[in-house]
Amino acid sequence: MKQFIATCLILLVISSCGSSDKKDKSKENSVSSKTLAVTNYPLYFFTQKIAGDEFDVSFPVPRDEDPAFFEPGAEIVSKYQSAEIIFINGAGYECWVDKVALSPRKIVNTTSNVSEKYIKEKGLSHSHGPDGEHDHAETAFTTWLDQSIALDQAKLIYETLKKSYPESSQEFDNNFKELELEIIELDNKMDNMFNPYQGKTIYASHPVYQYLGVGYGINIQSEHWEPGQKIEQDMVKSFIGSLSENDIKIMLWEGEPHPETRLLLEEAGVKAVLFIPCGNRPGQGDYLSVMNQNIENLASVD
Amino acid sequence: MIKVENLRFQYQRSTFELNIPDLQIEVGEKAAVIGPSGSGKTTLLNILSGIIIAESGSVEFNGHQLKTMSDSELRNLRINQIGFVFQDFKLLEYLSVYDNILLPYRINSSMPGLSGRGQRVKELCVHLGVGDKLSKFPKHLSHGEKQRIAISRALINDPSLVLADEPTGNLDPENKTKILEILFKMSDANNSTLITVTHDHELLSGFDRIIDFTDFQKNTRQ
Amino acid sequence: MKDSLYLAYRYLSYNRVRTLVLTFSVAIIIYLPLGLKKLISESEDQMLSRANSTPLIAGKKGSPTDLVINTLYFQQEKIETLTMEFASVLDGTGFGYAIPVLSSYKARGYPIVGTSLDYFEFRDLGLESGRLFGVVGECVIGSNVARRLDVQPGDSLISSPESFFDFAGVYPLKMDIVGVMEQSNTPDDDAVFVDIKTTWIIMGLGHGHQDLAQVYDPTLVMERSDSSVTAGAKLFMYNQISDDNMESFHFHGDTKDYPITSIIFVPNNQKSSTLLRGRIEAGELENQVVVPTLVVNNLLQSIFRLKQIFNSVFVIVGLAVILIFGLVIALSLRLRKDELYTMFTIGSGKRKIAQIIGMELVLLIVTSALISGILYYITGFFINEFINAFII
Repeated sequence: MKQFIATCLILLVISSCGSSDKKDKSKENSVSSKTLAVTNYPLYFFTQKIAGDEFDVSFPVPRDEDPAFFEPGAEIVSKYQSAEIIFINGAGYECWVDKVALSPRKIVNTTSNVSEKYIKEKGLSHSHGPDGEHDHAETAFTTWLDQSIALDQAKLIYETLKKSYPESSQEFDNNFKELELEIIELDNKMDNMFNPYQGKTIYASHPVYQYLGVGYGINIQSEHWEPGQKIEQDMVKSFIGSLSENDIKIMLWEGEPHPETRLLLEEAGVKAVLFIPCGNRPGQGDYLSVMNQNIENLASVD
Repeated sequence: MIKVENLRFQYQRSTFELNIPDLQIEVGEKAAVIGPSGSGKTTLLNILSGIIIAESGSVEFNGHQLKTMSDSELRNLRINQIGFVFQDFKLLEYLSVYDNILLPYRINSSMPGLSGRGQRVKELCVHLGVGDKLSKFPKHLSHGEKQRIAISRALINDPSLVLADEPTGNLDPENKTKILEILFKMSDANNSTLITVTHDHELLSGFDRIIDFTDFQKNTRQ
Repeated sequence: MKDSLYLAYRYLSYNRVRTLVLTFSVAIIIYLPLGLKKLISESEDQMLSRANSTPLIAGKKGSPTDLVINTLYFQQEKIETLTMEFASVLDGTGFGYAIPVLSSYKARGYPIVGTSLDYFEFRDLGLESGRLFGVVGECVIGSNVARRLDVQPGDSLISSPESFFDFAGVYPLKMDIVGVMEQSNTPDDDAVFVDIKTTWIIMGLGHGHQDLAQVYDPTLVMERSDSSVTAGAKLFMYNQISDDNMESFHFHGDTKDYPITSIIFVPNNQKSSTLLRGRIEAGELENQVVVPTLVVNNLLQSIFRLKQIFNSVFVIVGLAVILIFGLVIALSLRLRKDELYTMFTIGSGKRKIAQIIGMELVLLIVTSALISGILYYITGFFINEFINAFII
């Protein structure tokens, strides 16, 4: 009889451990179910800032990849599929979204409210047969470089989160307020910094600064040079030959130019200035510190 | 063991009347019943087995007055104490030889169970020369074999009376003799009474007595 | 009783042909009305269940029945298409969410259903093996497709070339199977699911080819300038999407204008459903929103009338069979008169003889009932075929 009671008690204990495991798992599930996904670093920064620690923000693009040209494999697609909301940049940034199976109702285009500000650029179009031309006019996609658009993107993230998770509204309100102030401060700094260059032309190594130009009233002319790549002397000379007196002899670079290229440019009086668009995670710091550094880099040019 | 007194029987809507004033057949006696066709020979067998009850007279079998017995008593009497052999064998086509012989045990619940009877079936069949036919069906047998099996069925319940109605009627001369010999032998072995209706006068010599229906027949003509 | 059963069994098994004919005749006459009733009733249940689980279906104005049948059962009758934009319009109402469906092609006889991932969550479909599709060119298949074609994740299926859409062309696309769905006993078991964009690729609205900026073969490039390249018809379009050529796949035009066959709309609640229907009925000229349950109920009404006709026929046929059965038994007893008299003579009572004959009838009827029971059970496996062949 005693053995029977003991066995029953043991079984009772074991079963209650099992049920508490289940409770823990369900709790775990309820925590991990609040997963948000993003497609570039600025969105990651904004979302994490606004959402807070209660949410898991997934940015599965590897550090060494350019998110704009990234093609996700099955594992990463699966991470996006399992997120509750997917914040995309829009403006054609994520060329892979068209080829990936994602639930349309989970996708939030953070620039959908400012699509009138999209900058169209003519790319190489192609057509098939005599049907006519299919113009693949390309849209510039580094929208966040115009901090007013960045703020719009952050705002849309904030509004989406409030609507989807009203129970955390208070936290979102507080977090967004803080972020808003920081972005506005950034915007003002950029305004001030670019003010002297209004209406003038500065240069860029690569066509990624369109929104910076339009947002802050400067004309940016771009080459198609990669950071770290040794540019042919003829090409550099040809560029230098095209400079006019009114141009501001600054060339913005996404990353460090090749030392020889930098030398050639400096010899011609053109300053190579590091202005990192910050599409992926920075090596150090965060979005705000990177943008502030960009501003400092520009400001340090005489 | 069989006593018939003042027996009168007439079929409905028939002018024929069977009239037997007195008939006694002893235990173990082998009697042949002869007479013209329609004289009532088969009718007598039916009366003696209780299939037909005569309206007047008495029929006593092993001390039982058949007139006073109920239908179920009569059935039980037949199944337990009487064996039947027919001219056309009357084996059931859809039963094997084995099952045909054991038929009496399956159709009346007053019979004892089947256990142990299998051995008796085999003994009978071997004795009658058809021991290798147990699993066969009637359509695979010759007339002589069929009649031996019919006899086995008649004897399986160790009856005290065997009623054979023209048992050799459908057999060739060789089998006629053999069948009759079998009937006589079994009658002697079991001390059972044998009453055989036959038209075959050549076979009468083996019987203990001849019952001639010419003596009993009474045909009322209007 | 045991002996009567034995003798009855012996009689029936000896007269095999007669027994089989009688048994199957009775079995069929027992089975037919019950089987048909089961087919119809389970078909009704299945169709209504499928319809009940689908709140609203939107499509081009036309036959609501064709629209519902195409969406729920993937019957690819010719229905008008609407544009993907309408899905955005419905999403924008805030009354619920839209699941686009494009069902117009087949792969080895099975319908290819282009949709979004929401479809699987909506239908509560689980995976038996593998995973859901992640990129264009991948597919997940229903359990019946996997079993009948003997395919699994890692294998591939090619879309059939025929199409009733009059577009630029239909491209047989080799699709990679990445998952097999769990059995759901619905038409989903017989479907090949792809992302809707994959279906557009099959239609030719999207494709992949060599980078024309890098192609200089004059037989492939008709004309070239600094800003445009005109490719010839000879240019090879990839018929399978792989990691190597994925980047080259693109769509021409705006996908909002691309065709779909229907939209499953999942409203937030009943009020939202009513409001949406009211709004569409009042303001929408080209498209319609239907309630599948109402459409299927209408369809089933006509089936119900047919069922009543069948039942009347079965009653008459059943009576005839019973009469014939009775006649056969009566004739059989007459033929067996001699045999039965022999039993009586030997010492069987009339009741026992009746019991033996009764047992024969019982065995016949029980065997017939068993056979019809088996047929009745098997009927359950053919509900889908019945629905496909006789209802839709």
